[in-house]
Amino acid sequence: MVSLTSRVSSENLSRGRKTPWKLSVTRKANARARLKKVDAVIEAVRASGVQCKALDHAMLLPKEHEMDPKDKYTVFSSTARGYRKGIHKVPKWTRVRPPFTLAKRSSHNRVL
Amino acid sequence: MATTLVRLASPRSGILHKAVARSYSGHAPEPNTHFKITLRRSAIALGERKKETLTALGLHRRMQTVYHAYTPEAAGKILKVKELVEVKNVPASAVRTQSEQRWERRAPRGYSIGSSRLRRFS
Repeated sequence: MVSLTSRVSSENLSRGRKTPWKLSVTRKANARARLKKVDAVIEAVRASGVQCKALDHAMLLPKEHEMDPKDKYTVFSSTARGYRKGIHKVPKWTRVRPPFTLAKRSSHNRVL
Repeated sequence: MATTLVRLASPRSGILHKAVARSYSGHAPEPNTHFKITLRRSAIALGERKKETLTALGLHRRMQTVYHAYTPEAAGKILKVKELVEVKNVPASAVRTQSEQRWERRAPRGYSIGSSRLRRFS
């Protein structure tokens, strides 16, 4: 016989840990710090004076201070209400900088 | 691995030569010639291409550091994994091989006497 509480806990287990709908202040600060580290890598490669196509592409990326908070913490989602969902719902979001943060795409998203 | 690492001084002169070159280098600051690349985040579950890029850079584990001369190829590889690495520009004298890095990290041999009660009576 399965009690109500055990069923609820097993549902939570099967879904994994509950994900909060928005990022906390600390997680947002950590996300900004990671973006700044990526900016530092691009800046170091630029400062080296080496020219390559990958650098041209990287220079198109907006820097952390140029990005909208909306682009830092949320991503486009066709199914979410308001067409935006928290960026922490994206798999591996702390280790990838997905194409939706590109300058062109972010201005496109701003329309939505 | 040996091919990816950049070796500047002859194998015999090694660290000593570089240390001397550092301390007696001229007044003008040495120009940066190399990327110092440290792997901060692992590429586990980020796809084979990123893992292969790290391998091509000579990075096999987190917190490992490699040096690469300024080339478009090295820059492209760095930018491919820019979320995972930390990059600094360093002059040629700062370049270390993996064994040299390990040698510099090692604990000092022997011991030194900080204070002794015997000295008071001598």
